Amino acid sequence: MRPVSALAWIGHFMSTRTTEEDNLMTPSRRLVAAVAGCALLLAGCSSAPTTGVAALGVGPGEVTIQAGDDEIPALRQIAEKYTADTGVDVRFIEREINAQAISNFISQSPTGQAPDIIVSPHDNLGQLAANGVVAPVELGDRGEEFTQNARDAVVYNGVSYGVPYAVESVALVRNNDLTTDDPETFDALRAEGHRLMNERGVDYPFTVSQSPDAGDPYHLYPLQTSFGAEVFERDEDGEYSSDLAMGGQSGHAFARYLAELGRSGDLRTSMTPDIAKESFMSGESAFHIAGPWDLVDIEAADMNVSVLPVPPAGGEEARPFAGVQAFFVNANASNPVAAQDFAANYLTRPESQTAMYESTDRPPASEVAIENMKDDPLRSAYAEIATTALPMPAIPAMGAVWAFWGTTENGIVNGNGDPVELWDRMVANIEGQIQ
Amino acid sequence: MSTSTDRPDTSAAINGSGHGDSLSAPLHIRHSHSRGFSAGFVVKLVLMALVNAFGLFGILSAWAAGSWGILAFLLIALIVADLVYFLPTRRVLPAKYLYPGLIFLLVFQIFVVLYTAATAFTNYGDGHNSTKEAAINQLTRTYEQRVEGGREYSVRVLSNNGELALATTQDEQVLVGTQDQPLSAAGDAQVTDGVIAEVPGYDLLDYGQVTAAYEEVMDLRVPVSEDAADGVLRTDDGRTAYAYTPSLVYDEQTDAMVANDGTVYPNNGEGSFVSPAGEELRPGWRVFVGLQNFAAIFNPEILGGPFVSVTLWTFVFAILSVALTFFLGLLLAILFNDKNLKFRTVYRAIIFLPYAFPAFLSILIWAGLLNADFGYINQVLLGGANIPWLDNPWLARASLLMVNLWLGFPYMFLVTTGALQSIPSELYESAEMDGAGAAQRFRSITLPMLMVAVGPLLIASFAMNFNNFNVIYLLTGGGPQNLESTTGVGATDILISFVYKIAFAGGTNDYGVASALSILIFIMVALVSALTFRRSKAFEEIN
Amino acid sequence: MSTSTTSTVKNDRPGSRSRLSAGQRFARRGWKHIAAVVACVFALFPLIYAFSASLSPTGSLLGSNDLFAEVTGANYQNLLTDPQNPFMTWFGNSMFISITTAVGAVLMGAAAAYAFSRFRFKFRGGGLMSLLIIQMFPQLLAFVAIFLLLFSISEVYPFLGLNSRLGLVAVYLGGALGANTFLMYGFFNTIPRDLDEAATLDGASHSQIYWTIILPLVTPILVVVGMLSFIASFSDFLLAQIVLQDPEKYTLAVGLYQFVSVQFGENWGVFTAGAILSAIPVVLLFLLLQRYIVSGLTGGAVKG
Repeated sequence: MRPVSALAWIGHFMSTRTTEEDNLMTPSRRLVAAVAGCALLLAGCSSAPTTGVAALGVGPGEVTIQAGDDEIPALRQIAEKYTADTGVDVRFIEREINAQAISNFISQSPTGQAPDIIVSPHDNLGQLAANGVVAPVELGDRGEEFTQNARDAVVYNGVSYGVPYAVESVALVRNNDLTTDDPETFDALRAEGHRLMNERGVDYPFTVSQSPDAGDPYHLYPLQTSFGAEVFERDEDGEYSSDLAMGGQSGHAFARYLAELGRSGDLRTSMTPDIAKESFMSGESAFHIAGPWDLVDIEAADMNVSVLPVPPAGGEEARPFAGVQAFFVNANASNPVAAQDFAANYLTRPESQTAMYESTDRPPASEVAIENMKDDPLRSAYAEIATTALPMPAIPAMGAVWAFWGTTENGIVNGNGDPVELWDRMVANIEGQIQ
Repeated sequence: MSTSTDRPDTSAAINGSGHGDSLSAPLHIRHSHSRGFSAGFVVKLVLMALVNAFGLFGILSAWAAGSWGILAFLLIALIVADLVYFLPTRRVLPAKYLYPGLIFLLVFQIFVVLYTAATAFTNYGDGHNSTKEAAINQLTRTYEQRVEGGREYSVRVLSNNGELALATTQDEQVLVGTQDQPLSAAGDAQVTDGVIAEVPGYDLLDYGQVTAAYEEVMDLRVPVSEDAADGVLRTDDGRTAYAYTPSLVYDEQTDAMVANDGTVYPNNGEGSFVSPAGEELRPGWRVFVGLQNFAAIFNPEILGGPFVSVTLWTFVFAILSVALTFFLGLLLAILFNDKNLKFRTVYRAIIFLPYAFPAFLSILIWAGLLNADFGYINQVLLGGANIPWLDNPWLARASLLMVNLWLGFPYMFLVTTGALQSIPSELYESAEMDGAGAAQRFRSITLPMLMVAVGPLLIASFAMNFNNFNVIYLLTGGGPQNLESTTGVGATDILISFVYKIAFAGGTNDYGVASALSILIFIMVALVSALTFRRSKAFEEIN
Repeated sequence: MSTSTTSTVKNDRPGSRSRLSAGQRFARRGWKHIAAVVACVFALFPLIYAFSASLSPTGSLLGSNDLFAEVTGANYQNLLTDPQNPFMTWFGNSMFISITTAVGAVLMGAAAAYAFSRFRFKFRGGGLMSLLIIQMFPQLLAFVAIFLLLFSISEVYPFLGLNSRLGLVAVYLGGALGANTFLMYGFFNTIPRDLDEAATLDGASHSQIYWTIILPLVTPILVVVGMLSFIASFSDFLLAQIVLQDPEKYTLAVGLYQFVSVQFGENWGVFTAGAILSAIPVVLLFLLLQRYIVSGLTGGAVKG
């Protein structure tokens, strides 16, 4: 009853106030009023903290998953099944993954407040593992159902960390209305491109996504590997070490080839992803080096295209990077056993993998899901090419590589110096940063 | 006129001209006096009651949650609030008006400053993300290795008075084991449809119980047999277990991790376990590293050539950005201050538009428009020119300033438009009567009067541009890059984007170094601002 | 300045009763229209590009220099009907958060400006300067600090912590002083002190002077500060995406940012459509408040 009486008392006090002449309240009166105010509120809220604390412990278990908006519809289906089996609710945080989201996750995980499961490209794994924020996920025999590349990509320092669901790599998309040529080498591709420029009025011999300020070594990587200049050394299990392998003769050969591409105007650093895609789609180029993400728009435009491997420019096989989309479990998950169960036993199921493919349109990582997409020749071709790709290095040293690599390639293409000299300086700079 | 009590009339009364009105305003106040005071006091009491309720609620729940820091802060803040609003002395008068804003400032701004300052003395960053305990846990867990050729065990989690056990079936027989007790046959166990249904002496945990007991489940290791080489069973998901052998063990005596091949990784005192051969285990943990981050900055490789030129460009960029936006904004504000200008409402709305759009979108569009080969400016406006707007160092700097002008002038336009209103028109009239020309009126009246209101904002704007990471990062990425530099510095890099490159782009996010650098940048910009501010103090004397 | 009364546009103004020659008339006002149009073109031109992208079916931002080559409302329709991305909910959240922030920022900033303008106390000059300088601190680590802070607050005040709209408002209000106080402080100083002195002599308390005399007189600057705060919180996504985790609680900026925050997967068409729709309330607000901002409410009137 204290609140009521206190209120009544203040009311009484106020009603007497108005009759007073002076505009100054005596100090003691003011203090009394203040104390009364405190008492009122103290009484009013005394029961609140207990309910607040009780609410923390109560409630059904919950697993939170952070994923992008194209992944969530499939995850909802999988989660429905899981909730029906176990009673554990699944909550979604819709957030596209990028560097900032990874930084957020890393800094938030130790507080126990980060999502239990996140989706991320596998090349963030090194950073996640080095910070101790992802837990190993043991796939057991179910690991066999994934392609070799997908399995390798989620292994870091010999430990398997995630459940892959898609493997993406770049390939050559050909506009069949312009040409049906299947070039054996990249130079043959350029020749065919120039022929089309002369005869059919096409604008570019080929299109490839670049960036004027940062370069795009990712899209050019198949050309680089065709000279044998892989980014890092790999051990017999295919795991990368932090020893740079780009230097030497093979790297120089690639650098000279880049300079030649730039000199001839075939490769332009100003061709941003938007421009490259748009040019290809409007028939200004017959060949487009791109990842499967461009297929959505290409299909929507009803283009007649084929997906082929990127032809080699040097003497070896042109192997693009493989980027694997995977689910990772938070090492400090708020509901770790349930999160592990959902990841290892539900996300790995063939029907889950197929659902992820259908929802995201990304070439699957699961052999079963690949089998199931026979009526999708373009993505089947991408999935096929991805088996020859090299997983993007997930080691932290890779962070030091990107910036120098891209800007140096841009410098070489734009003719800002001797290609071999620029390439050697880049190798030295990266090695300096890694130490 | 003088008896009215509502607000519009108040201002109308004051808005008239001449001396009589300054008499009428107080008159009006006296009329509303007795009523206003008590009503105001009731409002104050109610508000303070709410504040006290809020504070006490927080104090109690901080007590319940054991958040002593918050409790102490709330206690002090609440006492100060009550003192400020109830002490009957004029000395606390300014505090009455400053308190609400200061509380928010203290909690949300000062905290960030202090947090950053504290981080500057730690090794916080990639690989040093959490506590030592968490690092040891994670290391032991990730360095456990599957026993070669080990099979999958389908398990159930059991409990015997709180002690967990695992049960699995092998050759139609139920095996049970605990942390200390290797798997052994439990004769009387019941199996229904291949699922373990009952194990005497144990309770079978249901799914909810297993997930709730996650801490115990994650720590549970059940030896497969008496032979340690067979490993221990560990289950992550409560359904399936695998046999593991530990490959790293923490030795408390020597404060080191010991691998099963005998390698010792002692604590190196800098937040990592490092083997004598120099191999560092990751993750490490956060430790205090003293002035090490500051020392790293004073490395000649960083402080050498690029640092000086970057600092210089940072000042040029910040000063020119403020000057250009201010003068364009002011020019337009004066232009549209003409009541008889047709369509000025429309003009103003259009001028304002860039400010209503998300800046990062506009910056990306500008980057596209300025693209050398495909951009709208070169292709369409300049008819196929090939001007390297963002690829030539000087053009890139100019383009950057132009884009920043576009982003910033609506703000200055808005602010100066508002501030122009505060300049009494009598001043202009008398100046005009004295025969002062437009330019002279601008110089001797508009500019100084304006500076009273917006001078400090220009300083604030300078500081904002000094650290304007977004526009640099999104438009040029700091480029065009100096390909010879080992730090990857570019022609348009300002200090903060340079910091970003040093602290984040080297393969690992180094928050410690980033914090140390941002403190140095802050000291620099604060000093410059404070000096400018003191010099502009003269403006205060105007009143 | 009030000699011409006609309603014609641009530089040609026939029928003016002015004694000025055509050249002088042009010099008087025509050049203003030219300058205004130039400024408007400068302001509009990138935005028209964005508008064109929002109507293009391809979902790319910079692919084509043929503005408005293909026009479709598909992006807008997509945006407004996708249950996965509840645009209208985000819109409501943004309005709530930004309006609350604006009101709070105006109240706190104006109170502080009043104190600095009217009272003389220790640390006044230093305090004023500190307010400005604290805001210059590089917010490089804010994303960690704010998260930890709100995480701790969540334990005490769940409605103010992580994933709470009010929590985000509180974060924004942390920046309510600083530049805002200065903007208002300068304006408050232009209100003559004789006004409050007379009122004080007449027995008015400081709070009465503040609420009934000063505040009505400084309405224009309150509106300006309110609008600046509104826009700042309306367009912020860095802090908002740390605080808000549930798509139902997103602001427009956070929600829309999701469309373009994934490399090579950007959906610029839908994003620009959303950006254009979300700019509408800001522009409407400006139009609505324009007369306050430029009304000259105080103008010379307060000069006693």
